[in-house]
Amino acid sequence: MFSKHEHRLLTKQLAVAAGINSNYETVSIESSLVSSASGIGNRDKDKDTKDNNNNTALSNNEANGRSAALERAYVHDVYENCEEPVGGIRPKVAQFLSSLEAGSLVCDVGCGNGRYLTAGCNPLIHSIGVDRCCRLTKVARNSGAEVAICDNLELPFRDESFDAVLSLAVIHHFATTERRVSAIRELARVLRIGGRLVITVWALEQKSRRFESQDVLIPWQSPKSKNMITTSDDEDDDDFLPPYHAYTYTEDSIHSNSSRSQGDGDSSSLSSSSPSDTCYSFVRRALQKLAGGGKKSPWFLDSWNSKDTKNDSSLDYEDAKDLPIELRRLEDFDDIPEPLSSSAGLKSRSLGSILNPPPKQIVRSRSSVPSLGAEMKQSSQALHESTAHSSITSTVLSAANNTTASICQVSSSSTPSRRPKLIKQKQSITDDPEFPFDENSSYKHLVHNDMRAQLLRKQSSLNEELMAESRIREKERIRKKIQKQMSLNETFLCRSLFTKRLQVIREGFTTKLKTSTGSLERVTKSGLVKIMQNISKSASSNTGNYPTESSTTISRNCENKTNKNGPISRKLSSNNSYERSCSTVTSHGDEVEKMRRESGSDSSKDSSLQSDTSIESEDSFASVIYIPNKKSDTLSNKMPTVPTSPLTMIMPCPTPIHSPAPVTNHRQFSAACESTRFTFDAPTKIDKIEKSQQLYVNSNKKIIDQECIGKKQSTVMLQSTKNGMQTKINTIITPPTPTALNATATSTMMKKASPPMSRITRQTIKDLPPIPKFKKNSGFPIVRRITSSHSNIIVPKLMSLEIFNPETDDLDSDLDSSDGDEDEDEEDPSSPDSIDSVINALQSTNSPTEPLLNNTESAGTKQQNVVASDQFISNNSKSVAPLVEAAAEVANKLENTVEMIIREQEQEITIMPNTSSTNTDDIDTSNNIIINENDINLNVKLTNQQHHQLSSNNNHRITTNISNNNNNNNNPNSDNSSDNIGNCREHLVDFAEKLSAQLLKELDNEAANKNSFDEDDNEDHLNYGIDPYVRKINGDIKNLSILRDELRERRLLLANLSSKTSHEMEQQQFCNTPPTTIQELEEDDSPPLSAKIQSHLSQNSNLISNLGTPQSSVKKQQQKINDFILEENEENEEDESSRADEDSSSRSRISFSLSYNACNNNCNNTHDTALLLQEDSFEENDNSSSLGLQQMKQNLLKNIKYPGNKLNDSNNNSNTNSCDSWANSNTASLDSPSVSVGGSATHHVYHHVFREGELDALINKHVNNLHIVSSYYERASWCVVCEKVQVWTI
Amino acid sequence: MKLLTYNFLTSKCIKKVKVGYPLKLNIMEQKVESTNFNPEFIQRVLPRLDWSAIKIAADSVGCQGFPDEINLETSTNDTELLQKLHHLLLEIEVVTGSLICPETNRIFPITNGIPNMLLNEDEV
Repeated sequence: MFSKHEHRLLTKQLAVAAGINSNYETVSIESSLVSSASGIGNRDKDKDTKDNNNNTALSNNEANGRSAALERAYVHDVYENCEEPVGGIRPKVAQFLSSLEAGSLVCDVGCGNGRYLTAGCNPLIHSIGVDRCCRLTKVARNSGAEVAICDNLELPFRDESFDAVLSLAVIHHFATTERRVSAIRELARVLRIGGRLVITVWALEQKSRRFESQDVLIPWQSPKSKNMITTSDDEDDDDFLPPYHAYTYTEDSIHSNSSRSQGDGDSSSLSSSSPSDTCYSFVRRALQKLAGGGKKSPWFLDSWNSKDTKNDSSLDYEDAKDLPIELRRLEDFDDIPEPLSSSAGLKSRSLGSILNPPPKQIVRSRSSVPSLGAEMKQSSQALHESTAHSSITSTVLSAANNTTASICQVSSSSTPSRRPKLIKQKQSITDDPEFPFDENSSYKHLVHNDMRAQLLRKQSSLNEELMAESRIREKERIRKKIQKQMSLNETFLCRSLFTKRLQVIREGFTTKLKTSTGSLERVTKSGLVKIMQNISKSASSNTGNYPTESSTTISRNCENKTNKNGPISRKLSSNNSYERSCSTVTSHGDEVEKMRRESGSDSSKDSSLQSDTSIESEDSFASVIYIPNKKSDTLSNKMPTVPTSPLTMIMPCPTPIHSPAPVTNHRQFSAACESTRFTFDAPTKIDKIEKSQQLYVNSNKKIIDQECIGKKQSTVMLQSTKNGMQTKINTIITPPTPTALNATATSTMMKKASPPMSRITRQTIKDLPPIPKFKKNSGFPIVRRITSSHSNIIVPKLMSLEIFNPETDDLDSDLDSSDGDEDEDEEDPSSPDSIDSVINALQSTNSPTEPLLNNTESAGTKQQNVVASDQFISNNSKSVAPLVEAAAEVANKLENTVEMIIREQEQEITIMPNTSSTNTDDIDTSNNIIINENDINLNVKLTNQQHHQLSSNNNHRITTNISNNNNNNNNPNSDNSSDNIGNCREHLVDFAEKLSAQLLKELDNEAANKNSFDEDDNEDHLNYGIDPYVRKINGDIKNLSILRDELRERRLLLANLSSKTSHEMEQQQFCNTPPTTIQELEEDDSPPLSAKIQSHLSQNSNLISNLGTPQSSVKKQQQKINDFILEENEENEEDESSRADEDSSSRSRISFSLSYNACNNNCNNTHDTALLLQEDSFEENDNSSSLGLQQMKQNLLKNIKYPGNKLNDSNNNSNTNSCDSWANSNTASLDSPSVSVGGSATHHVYHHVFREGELDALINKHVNNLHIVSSYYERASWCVVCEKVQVWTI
Repeated sequence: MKLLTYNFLTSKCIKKVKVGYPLKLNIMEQKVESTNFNPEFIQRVLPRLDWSAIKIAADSVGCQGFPDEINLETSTNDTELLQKLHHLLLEIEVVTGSLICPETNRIFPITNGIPNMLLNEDEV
């Protein structure tokens, strides 16, 4: 080959030379033009290919931006700020250079310090080194090398300029396969034909290190601290610290591993990145690490005193610093624009599973399992055979754009593919038979029918009117197809299909909504008027029926307990309400639980109906489409249906139990959901029509909820869909749910005795699927918009809340189950299967809870809160690991949705006061799910009319909105759970150091959350009004306020822990003491929660980190906190010196002691000074960490003087220490993430470690003009020598 | 930055830039470091050099005696020309200056002898 190319080169040169004789200059220019033009042509081609798929392009752009940001943070900045050790030269590279013939031009891309430029291997070659790191180029320049600064992706060189190109330890820094490929192509571009390209990348298979994932963040050990043991890309193989693997295999990891195939570059890279996992999964890792190493001396303490301890730092691989952090899901590499389209298409298909996050998410959900994702893919592929879409959503969107009835098409297209996969779903089915709940739940639902009936009627009327004949026809077609499938139907299979189809339909709706809002608006406008009229009519008629139904249902609830409908009805209901609910419900065998679940499902139905109406008002196709299905179904299950009168439509929703109408309703609902049809048809004529009807109604409502969710998602998701990350929305939603769940749990507690609930919670926890299920949930965007038209806004709001928190759903479900709430039971099933079910549960809880809350006293609620918190803690202990993972995943998704959430939160915040005064119905800004949740919480608490409860609700809202999280939410619920707060604080510190600036920001957010929690605690104990806090907003000093808040929180926590008896006294002093600066601090610290939340939300990254942290380390932190508290108590009695020593030894303890000391100081009336000192210290910290430390010392001295007690002195010392640490963390956060401020931050370098053959496959598949000459393993790296060949395209 | 490097630099990576070559060279500070003359290297490199860029470099540096056109067959044996090229391409260092894209006039600064060819995200 080489000779061949050489020959070509020579011929070319001869040609050029021949031309030169006449006019060298012009010829050369032309040649350059040609070459450049060709290059541009390729580029344009690439761009065109991207443009062909706008959705994919958008997602690619986002992914690209994300990966670029990651590279910037974890590669570029690290190299800019970290000393690169002087490593040796790879012998084979040196040999390669020396083998180059004289006069060769060599370009070392990523030259680093230029060791290969100045090695002198071959004096007859001219080497140009380029690097993206300005600092390293200077180093290389000073050593005499010829260097330039540029990016590997945009090499500023002419085409075919160099005889050899070196890419040593560079390609593995690119975060996505696409970028890696483009980088290699760029390398090949500047290489002349016949030139050689040497690429070395880190190998996954290394002696010294083991990587569980291919995308890892390697801690960068500065040579100083490591005593010349440093990590460099090229040479560190031997010196490099063995990575510590805290990674635990989850379903995701297993899944990814199973899908791995060596030798396939794409698959390997893709496999490493599981869909659910995000690039921020490292946060999760960090959390796990922290949690695992809880008893070890906190690593971050070292970082705080890094300056002092640089020399002391020993290589402790267990140390968090040294831990490589594995990243997940960095890339969605659907297709690289490559001339060979065929290969690309193949790739995309193979990669499809990995590429398409939403399907995998769906797969993760228990019920749907893998088949869903595959079906989605297939359907999408069927629609777009040629085009490879990065995400299913994008495909669906495009499909929607192409055809108005895209949904039908999708379903039809998906049908053929479904059959084989249906078998897989049976696994999920196994859960179903156990579910008896639905039957019971249906009766309970009837209790809430009053509200629902109206909604249903509205929807039905809207549906009929909105229905178009064409749609009906399409639906009929679908029905026929479905009927065919029906033969296959096992109810279980039907379930899975149903869920899949629903998802597809949702996506399609969302896309349609986006694309064709105009037509929708028209239809909706015209339809809305009619609907309103119909509703008024139907409402009057329905309302008359409902009360009777409710009464009957109540009486029947008992009957239902005794009379359990056949498993079929259960299955049907479960099918309708997604498999999630079924799986969760099955675990619970208690009738009480069943009853609760039923109520939850009823409420969910109501909420779903409400949501449907809201959707219709919003002009969403989904609602419309579903409606026609319902109509058709109602007329006759299999018969083609014509849009029935709105009245008939209305009937199904509120269905009188005994009337035949419910059956039709069931059918309608089933029709609404194509997949559901199957299930319904089989069970439609069940002996207990009423139950089944209720179930159907529930399912229908759920479906509607899903639709609504889909719509909301479409609104919210539109942005996210671009990324192809539907999960993001889910993640966003998830955080708030816990609070709502807590609220619901409390309410349920009021209703029912807690003790049985706790038992249920444990069971539910066990039963609950791990995080992946949530991911599936995330697939369903749950954001719901509540329209003013809905009188019963509260219920839908709750539903929205549940939907939002897939992760929290587990926690929530746990809590709820502990409480014994019916809602919890439903939530549990819903959590695995679908967010919708969760939402329903929340709604149900809310609806019943409100009256209960009103009836019950605040004291009762408090007790419930405590119980819930306790249960929550236990739940956390059991499900910490999955929660952490889920949190990490959620965090990723949250980034995209953060902005949306912020908006929603703002609205919510504004709305909140109104809602508190009035019922949630007043809140028309139902668009935001979070708002709904908040409203619900507020409503519940308002009913209680307790200030502290209100404040706690607000806090919960904020925390949930912020998505910081379950822990936070849980914390406020449990006044005594100061341990949790301390844990959160610890997490915050850990994150700050590890994750650097972004994480630090997130910590600030967490601090704010903590503050809110503290406030909650205070309020709970003291009945302290939070209103002033909310009113006061300090946008200027966020950091200071956050720090202050944290301090306050700590104080409060410590006070609570240390002296529960004196909690009220301390809090009163703390909050009320006029002379003290505490109030000022509080005021500063407590800008309106909404403002804080918004600010927090603005920082997406922060949110992510927060999410990951609290969940993972809750238990450990709690334990640690308890230990610390005990120790601190003992230490208080001890001498200051000894204590100081201990503090120095255990800095983590110090952090606690700070809060603890602060509390003590407050008790001693010295809190004023302490607060002042802390404020000063914080300010100084912001300004400069070092100054802050000195001031802290001074402050300590002052503090010591002020308090007469030695304990105070010790406390002050600890406070100062903690302040210093915080200051360091703050400074680190403020500074660039990679840069280590005060030596506290540990730099992590991103690596994509290559499997054996991965790089070769990458080159072979995506870089046509490179021919691999040799591939070998050298020094923990895969080395590939390529030769550029002329590719002749005919 | 040696002018040999300059001969290969282009701004074609900028979005919508067709050729981006040759870049305009604005030298603020330069220095000369004598290196060993290796005629073989020059002879080998010469075919891949763009003479227009060499002319621009020579003009900007002030080196005279470069023909408007070059005949590779004859010039390879032209020791004087090779020496001039050696001096121009390998001995003259641009310490401070700037490179300017001929199409977009995008300025790439040269500081400490290091051209910064990094592009902003919106330029790619």
